[in-house]
Amino acid sequence: MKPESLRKRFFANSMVVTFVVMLISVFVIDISYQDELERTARDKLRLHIFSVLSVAHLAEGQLNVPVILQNPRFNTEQSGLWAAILDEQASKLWRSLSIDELPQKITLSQKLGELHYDNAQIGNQSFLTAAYKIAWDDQGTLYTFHFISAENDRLIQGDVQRFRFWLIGGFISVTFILLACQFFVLRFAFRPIYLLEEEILSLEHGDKNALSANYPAELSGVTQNLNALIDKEYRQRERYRVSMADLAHSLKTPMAIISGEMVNYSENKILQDAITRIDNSIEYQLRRAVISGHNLVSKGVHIKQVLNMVLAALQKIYVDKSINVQSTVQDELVFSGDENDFLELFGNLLDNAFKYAQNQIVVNIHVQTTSDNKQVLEIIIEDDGVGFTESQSIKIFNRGQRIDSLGLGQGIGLSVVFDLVKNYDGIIETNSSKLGGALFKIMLPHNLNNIDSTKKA
Amino acid sequence: MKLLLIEDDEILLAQLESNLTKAGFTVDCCQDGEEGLYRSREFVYDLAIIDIGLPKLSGIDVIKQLRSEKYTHPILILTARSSWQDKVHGLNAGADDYLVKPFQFEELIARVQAMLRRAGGYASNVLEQGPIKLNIETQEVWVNEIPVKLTAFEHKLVQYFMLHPQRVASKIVLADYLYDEEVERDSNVIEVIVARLRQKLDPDGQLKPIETLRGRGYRFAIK
Repeated sequence: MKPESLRKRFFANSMVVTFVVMLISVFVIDISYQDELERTARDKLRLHIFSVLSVAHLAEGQLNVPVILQNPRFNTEQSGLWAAILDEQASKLWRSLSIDELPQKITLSQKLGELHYDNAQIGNQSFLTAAYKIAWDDQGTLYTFHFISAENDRLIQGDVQRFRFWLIGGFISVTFILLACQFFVLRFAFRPIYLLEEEILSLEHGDKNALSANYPAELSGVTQNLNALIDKEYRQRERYRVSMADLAHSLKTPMAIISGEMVNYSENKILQDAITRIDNSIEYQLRRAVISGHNLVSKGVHIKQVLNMVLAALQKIYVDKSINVQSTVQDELVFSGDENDFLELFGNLLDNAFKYAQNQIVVNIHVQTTSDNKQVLEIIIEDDGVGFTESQSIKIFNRGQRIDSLGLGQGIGLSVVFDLVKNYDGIIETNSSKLGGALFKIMLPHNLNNIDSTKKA
Repeated sequence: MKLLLIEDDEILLAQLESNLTKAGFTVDCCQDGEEGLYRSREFVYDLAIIDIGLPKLSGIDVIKQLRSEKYTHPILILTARSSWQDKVHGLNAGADDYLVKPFQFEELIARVQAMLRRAGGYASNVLEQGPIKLNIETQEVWVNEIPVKLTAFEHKLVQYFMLHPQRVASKIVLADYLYDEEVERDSNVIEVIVARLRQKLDPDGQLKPIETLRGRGYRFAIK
C-alpha cells in the first residue's frame, strides 16, 4: 500500500490530537463547573438557614418564626426554595409558605453546629437539602432544633445545561477554527516540499537540470546532495562516453589499417573472418556500452526533434533511393530518457528501414494507454521492403545475425536496439507491414502522466 | 579527381593515400583540423575525406566551418565511433556521407565515387553526356555504345569533364587536378592530352565536345 502524503499524515495526526485535547478540556471544565455550581448552591442554602435563624426566636420553650419571610421565594408556592424547622424528634415545627408537605425522608445533621447536605425527593421533584442542628438555651433548659433549607435541583441543573450548551458549542467552534488554521499553516509549511517534488518532476521531464538553491535549512542538505549526485552522475556518464569514444578510436584506427592491408591477403579467408569477428565484437560492445537506459535524472528527449535529426541524416545517406517518409508524431511529445539512446534507437531502426525500403517508410509515434491503465510510448516503423518471415524475426535480434547480405551495416544495429529497449523496460515486436515490408513496434513505459497529475493537484 | 584527406593516424593516412592514388585519385593529405581547413580554403578539391577525431580542430568543427563559408564540395566523414549520435551530428553539420572504421577499401571507393557523381548531378554510376558514356565503377568509356580505350590521364580528364559539364576549366586547374603538388607542371601536356581526347571521343569531328576558350581554358559541353 502506498503511504499517505506527509501533509495528510501530519494533518490527520494533529486532528486526532486536537480532538482528544478538546474533549478532555470539555470534561475537566464541565466537572469543575458542576462542582463550583454545587458549592455555590450549598453556600446559598447555608445563608438561607442563617436568614431563617436570624428571624426565629425562642420564648418560654416555644419557637416563634414569622409566617412571611424577607425572601419572597419562601412565601411563593412552588418557587423551588423552601425552609423548615424540626424539633429534636424530627417533627415539624415550622415550614415556609412555599411548600405544602415536607419530604418523607430528610437526612439531618447528627452533630450540633454542623451543616449536612443531601438530596430529598418530593413526588418526582428532587431537592438539594441543607440541615443544621442547633441547641438553644432558654432559662436553663436546652432545646434542640433542626433548621432545613432546600432548593429544587432542576433550577441548579438548568444552569448546568445552559453552561454545557455554550461550552460544547464554543469548543466545537474553536476546534474547527484550529483545524482550519492548521490546514493553512501546513500548506504554507509544506510549500518547499511541494516545490521540491515539482522540481524533481521537471528534472525527470528534462525542463531543468538542477534543483534551485533557495530551500529551507532542513531541505537544503537534501537538495544540495541531490544536485551533487545529479551532477556527478552526468559527469560520470559523459566521462564514460568520452573514454568509450577514445577506446573506439584507439581500437578502430588500427583495425582500419589491418583491414586496408588485408587487400593484399584477400585469399586468406580465415584471417579475414577472424578480423571481421574481432571488429563485430568491438563494435557491439562499444555501442552497447554507451546505452544509458533510465538515468537518475535525464534531460527529456524531444521525440520529434530527434526523429527529424535522424531522418535528415538518413535522407542524405540514401539520397539515391528517394524514399518518401511519412511520420506522425505529436509536436510536444517529450520522453524522459537519454537523447543519445533515442538517436541510437531511431538511427538503427530507420537505417534498416531505409536500407530495405523500396520507396516508402511510415513512422508513427504516439502515447497509448494500455489495458492496465499505464501510459506507453508506442513507436511503429514500417517499410515497403521485402519484410521477413517469422523465423527471421526471432533471429533478427541475435547479435551479428543478418537476414540477408543486403546493405553494408554490421548487423548489430538491431541487437543494440533490443538491448536498449530492454534497458528501458520496454517491449519490441516485429511483424509484417501492410506496406509489404517489415514492421517494428516498440513500447516504452511513459511516465509524463505523473507530471500532469501533480501539476493539476 | 582531387581529394583532400584529413586523418591523424600516420599509418592509416599513408595507406589510404597510397590506395587512393592507385585507384586513380590525386590525394592531398594532412594530419590535423587546422591544416585541413587551411587547405580546403586555399585549394580546390572535388571531395574531402575527414576523420572526426582530429587534433587541434575536430572534424565536425572543420565541416561546420567550411559549410558556413559556403563550401559546396562533398565531404565524407570517417569515424571510429559508430554511435548514431556521431553519425547524425556529423551529417547534420554538413557531411554528405559517413564511413565507420574499419572499412573495406572498396567501400570507401564506392562511397567516394557515388558522392562525386551526385555532386555532378548524376543519379547513377553511368555518367552520360550525349553519346558519351562513362561508368565510374568500371572506368569504362563508350561513344555511341562503342568502347573507347583511354590512358590513365585521359580517363582522369574525361571524368573531370563529365563531372563538371558546361563549366570553364583553366589549364592550371586541370594540371592541378591531374598531378600531385610536387610534380612540375607543363601546360603543353594538357594541350596534348586534350587533343588526344578529342580524337578518341570525336574521331570524325562531328560532336566537338571540348571547346577551347582562348586565354581561359576549356569547356566540356555537348550541344
